Amino acid sequence: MGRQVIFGSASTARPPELTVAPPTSNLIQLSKADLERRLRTKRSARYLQAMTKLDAGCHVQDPKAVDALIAAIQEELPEVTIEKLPLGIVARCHLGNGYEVHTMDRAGGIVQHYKTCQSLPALLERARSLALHPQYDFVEVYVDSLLAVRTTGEVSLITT
Amino acid sequence: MADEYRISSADLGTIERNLSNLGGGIETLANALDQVNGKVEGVAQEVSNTQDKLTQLAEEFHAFLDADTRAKELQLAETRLVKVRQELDTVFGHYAEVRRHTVGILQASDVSVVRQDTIKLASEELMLNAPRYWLAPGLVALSAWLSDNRPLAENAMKEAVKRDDNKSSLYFALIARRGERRQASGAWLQRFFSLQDPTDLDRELVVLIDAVANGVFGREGRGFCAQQFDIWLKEISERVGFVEDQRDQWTKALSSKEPSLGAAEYPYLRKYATIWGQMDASLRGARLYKVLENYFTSIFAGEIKALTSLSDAVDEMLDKLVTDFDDEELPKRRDERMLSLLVEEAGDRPAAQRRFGAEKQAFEQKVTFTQLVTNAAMHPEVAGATKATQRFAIAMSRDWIVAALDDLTAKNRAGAPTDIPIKIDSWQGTTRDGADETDLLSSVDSHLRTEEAKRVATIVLKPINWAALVLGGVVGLYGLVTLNWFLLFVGLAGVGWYFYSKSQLDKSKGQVHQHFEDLRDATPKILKAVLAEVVDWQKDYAAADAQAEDLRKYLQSITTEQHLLTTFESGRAVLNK
Repeated sequence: MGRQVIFGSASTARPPELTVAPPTSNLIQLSKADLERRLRTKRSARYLQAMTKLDAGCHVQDPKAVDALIAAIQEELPEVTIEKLPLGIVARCHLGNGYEVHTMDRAGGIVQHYKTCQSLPALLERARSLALHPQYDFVEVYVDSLLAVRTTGEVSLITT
Repeated sequence: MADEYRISSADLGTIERNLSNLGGGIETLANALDQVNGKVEGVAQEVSNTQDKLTQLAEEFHAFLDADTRAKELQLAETRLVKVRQELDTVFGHYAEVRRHTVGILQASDVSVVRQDTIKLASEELMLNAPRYWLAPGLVALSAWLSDNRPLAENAMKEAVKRDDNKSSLYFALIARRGERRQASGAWLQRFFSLQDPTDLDRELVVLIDAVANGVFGREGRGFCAQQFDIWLKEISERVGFVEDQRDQWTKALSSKEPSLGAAEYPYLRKYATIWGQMDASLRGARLYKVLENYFTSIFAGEIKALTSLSDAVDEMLDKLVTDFDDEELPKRRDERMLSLLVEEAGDRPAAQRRFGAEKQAFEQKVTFTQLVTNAAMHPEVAGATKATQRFAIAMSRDWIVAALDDLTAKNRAGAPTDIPIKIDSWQGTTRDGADETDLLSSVDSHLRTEEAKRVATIVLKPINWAALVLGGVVGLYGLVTLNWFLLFVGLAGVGWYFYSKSQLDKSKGQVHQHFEDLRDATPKILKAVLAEVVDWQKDYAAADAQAEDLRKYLQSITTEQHLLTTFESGRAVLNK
């Protein structure tokens, strides 16, 4: 089990009132090709910066910081409906002390850090190798694909 | 008289002799059982040897079958290849004569060594000999043009256009360009372009790209063609799914160059790493980058030796146009290519099919503009593209190539294993980088000791052995007391069987100990070899993987502008912008 760093050790789910999802009704459902095209667009510097803060440790005590990350994802992909947004983010962890990767579970609003010997949840585990590769800053995990994001914001898509 | 009973002193000599005989008998029986046991062990050993030999024989048999199949495939392919080439020659042979005459007439006319009547006669004869063939009237038009016979030229030209508008337009554009008739050449080019649908192009367009890339059409022609290519690209890219198709197309094209690992590489990992398939695929995928880098750099390395004159360049294009792109011949050409690959692969059909699969699209009669460009870049020998065209095609497709490479690289990296599970006999362990040798060796040792203890614990006497001891003892004792020889014999046999079983048990335990002793000796050696290969594999993979970034940088440095020849005119060649 990874180290849980949000809302205190006992809480695992984000309180419902903190939901920042925009109303989905005024978003048009993108076709598969359009969605892929949209997801493949280069990520902004602002978004990249927001994601690198995952490792800064400020989310340990600050649930608003996690909300800000989730808001950053929604802001980066505004046309994408909530169910098509990434399920989570997996990135290389620089905490040291045996910690290898950290994950952000969007739905649960949880940030967790994992050691070398610890397994990630099944959906996120498939992004581990990519997240560990120095060429990628982090990996966005979708239901049926992974998007590896480079430091430059360029993305590569892998269908899983 | 009272009966008098008297017990004489017992003569136990006979009993002793009999007991001694019985003892001897039991000993003989035990020896015989030992011999039987020895023989059984010998038979078991022989069965094991026979099994090994059978396995070896099966392997040799399969290897023989494989070699035999390949030899037969090779022989058959060689025979068929000759047949297909003969058929091509027989069915389309008369075209060859027409083809040879095209450049022949032009060159003869250049040096004015053949009378116009001869040219006229020859071309008219060919017209009669090659019905339905588009080039025959094209040749008549050419000879009429050279002899200034406009009505005949126009009639022949109309017939050629009727037979094959695409090829005739390109043919006349090239001939007009050779004769420095720029206006006429431009008009034919415009006509050619007006006939094209960028999603359904004939393969001969590659000749035009060749001509543009080699500077045959001059600056205006190049500008015009580049503009047209741009329009096509825009038109195609607006189609739904274009980007995905392009990426898939390039991903397949790049993957077609993936190398295989040598059969002797990583023998221990092949045998003991349970995810060898994944490791093999990852390493092959990573080695692809170097292969691709070599491929692309070899295309862009050095100067392309330009032909000395415009007429030579056009003649080469004409030769190619009239020789390589007749659709009637395409099925036979496809067969010929497959058979040639089979011969090149020494009868290995799967390998030949894999190579042919990668080239197959280059044999399609109709292709999209982007597919044509991909074929020219990756399968030039099949697509009929020159090095200049390859450079142009790669430079034009650079962004798609980089996008496809990025996806391919990410996919390969995602599939690269972080942990490597190992299985040696019944022991299983996992290593990440091969550095945990001490822990794994200790795990092997403790596993083997546990297994040995478990195995030894199963080697115990059966209840029947114990029953034989107890019953044998009781019966034997009773037999002795009652002097019942039979019971005594049975009792002793039961006790004897118990001791024999016990001695066998100790022997079995000894064998188990020996077996595990051997394993304790061999397994660590195997494990060390596996771990050494894990380290080598990871170094190998990391070094190969790092090439991806070099390749990416190299591809990004390619620009279209740098890769157009300006052979026949001075001035800077700028294609797109």
